[in-house]
Amino acid sequence: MHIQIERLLEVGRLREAKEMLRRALEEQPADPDLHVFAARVAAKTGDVSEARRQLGSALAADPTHVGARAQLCDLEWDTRNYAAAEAIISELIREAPRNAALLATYARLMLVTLHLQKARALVNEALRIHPDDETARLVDVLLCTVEGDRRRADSQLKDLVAEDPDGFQVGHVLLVALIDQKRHREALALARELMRADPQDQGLVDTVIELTVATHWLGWPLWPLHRFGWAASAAMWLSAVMFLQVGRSQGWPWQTVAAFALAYLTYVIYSWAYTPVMTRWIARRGAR
Amino acid sequence: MSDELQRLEQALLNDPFDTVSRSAYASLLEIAGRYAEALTQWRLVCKATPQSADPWLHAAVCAAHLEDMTAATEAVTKARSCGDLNAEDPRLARFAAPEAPPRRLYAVAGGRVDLSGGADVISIRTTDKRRFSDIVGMTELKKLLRVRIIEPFINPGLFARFKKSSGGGVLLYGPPGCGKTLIARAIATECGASFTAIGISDVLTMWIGASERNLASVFEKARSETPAVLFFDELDALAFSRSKARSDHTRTLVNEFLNQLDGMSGSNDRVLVLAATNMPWDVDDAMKRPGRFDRQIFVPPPDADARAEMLRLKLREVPTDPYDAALVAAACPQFSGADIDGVIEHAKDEVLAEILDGAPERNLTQQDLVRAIARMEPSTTDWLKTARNLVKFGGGTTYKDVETYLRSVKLY
Repeated sequence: MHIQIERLLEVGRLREAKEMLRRALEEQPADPDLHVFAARVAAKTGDVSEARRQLGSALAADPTHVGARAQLCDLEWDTRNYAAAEAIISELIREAPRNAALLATYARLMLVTLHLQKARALVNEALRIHPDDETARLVDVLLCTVEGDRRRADSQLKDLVAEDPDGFQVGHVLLVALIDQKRHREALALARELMRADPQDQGLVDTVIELTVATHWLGWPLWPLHRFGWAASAAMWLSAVMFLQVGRSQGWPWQTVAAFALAYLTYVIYSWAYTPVMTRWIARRGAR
Repeated sequence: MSDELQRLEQALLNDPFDTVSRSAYASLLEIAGRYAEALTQWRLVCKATPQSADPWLHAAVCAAHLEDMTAATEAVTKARSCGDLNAEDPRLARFAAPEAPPRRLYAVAGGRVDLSGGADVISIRTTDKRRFSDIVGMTELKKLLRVRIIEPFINPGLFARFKKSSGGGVLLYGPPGCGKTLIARAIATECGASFTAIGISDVLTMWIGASERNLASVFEKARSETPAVLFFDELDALAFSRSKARSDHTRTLVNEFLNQLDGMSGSNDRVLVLAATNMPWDVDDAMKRPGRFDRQIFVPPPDADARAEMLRLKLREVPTDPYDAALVAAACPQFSGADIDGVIEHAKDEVLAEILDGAPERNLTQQDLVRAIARMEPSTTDWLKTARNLVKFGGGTTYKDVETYLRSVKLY
């Protein structure tokens, strides 16, 4: 029956899973596994207090229940109570120090809270114990991206994509890597693909809008700024100042200098206004 | 007997939802004269299989032995409402049948029930034979379904000359409560084929491999009864996208489904496979490829005319003051058929509450309906918002019909 409930939860049939759990809990009210499932259902429907109550029942029946503690960790994580989540996961790792999945999850938590060194140490340990653990490898790619180690990120990602080309999680990590490498067109195609599979994810919708803005032909004049960021901005500013200085020292007609200054100013305003205006426009009209 | 009881107890400990073992256990207890325990067990069986008359009758017999006639009568009443009750069952003789009111005329003609003259209507049909004419509105959709599905199925010769095959798969998708299931039933009736509706509970079981076997047997049965229409409700649960699935069970079930659709285990000629889903984006992409569910049809919320017609039909036997159905329908855009039911129920509740509070008895008015509409949010809103994300930002042409609909109702 656990398999059936698991399956119903996986395919998002919460009502059916709830009904099955109700019947099962009538028969076996002290089964901690059933309470953990009930907590998962409650968490998925956004009922955090019910999820806590169910996990409390599970832990009352079996205080060492790993599933219940792992679920409680997820719950704390989701509610951004990272310290509590860390306390639970540390306890679980103390009990099973060679569990690569737990180490990888802890590393992910550290990555989310920007404790990069600790995350790196944890992910290295997870990969040492179990080099094929998918969670560990995904966290490794994200960490490499954050650390700027593109070569290693690319190589790990290539293997992950080759092993599971349709994997949803792999797709998300690949999207992060592509955006980091400023390969916006490929990132846009992938983001659309992911969004078609999960159109309820507002984060993906926002990413598609951002990438559409970044790749729109109206944004081409801003390519240097998008590609090289502040460096391009500073270089342009310096060039403009130098051009104006040269113009003044060479005695160029004021109309030429004014036209250049006006063009530069227009470009600056355009670079400021383009993203917010275009984002609103795309959000309203859609990304074709 | 005690060994057998022990064995069954053990089996039930291992699997408390095994109704076969529980029935056997309850029977043995009943035979042993342990009626109180047997009654408890039969009640559990009844809870698991409420549509089966036999457990209810057993429960009634046990209750009668315990001299609890209220419980016994209640159980017999439940048994009488079950479709598989054998009227000759000797156990029934122990309990007096409820006094039936004298029946007047009943009329069933041309597949439609004539309610005129206040006749008592007793359905003589065992299956729901809905036709397209029973579905209000959706004229365009019905026309499309006739050309693309029904005609190739009932007139295969003509279509074969144009190299169009009959059968195959059709996926109906759209917001919940908008009549996808009803349309599927009507398609089966129009095709003159046997109709088998399969829900997730008919396929998914708790045993590893059993879900795949269930699915295969459903297809086998349909192949042996051609022409046949198989209808899979909530396809997204049975063919959940493998890229999102984490468990192997889900992937295996999708693989089996694909095999069956491809006709690996036998020809699917003259078997029309229909499916409905609220979440087409959760259906595995491989299911939508040619030869499988390659025809995907959007079932939108009912249009204004259909909503008006629904209101007229649903309020036909409710005491109402004259009202403008078109005006009320215009006030509830994007409301599904189920939402319209909700509106009417809300309005009725309000009027009844007023009357019970001491106000003079009155009919339902247009104002009551409009007030009920104002308090309700159409259940299609969330779906349409998600669909808007999909067509605005997802790219591709898969959901072109949805885009056209969203543009037509100015939701794009």
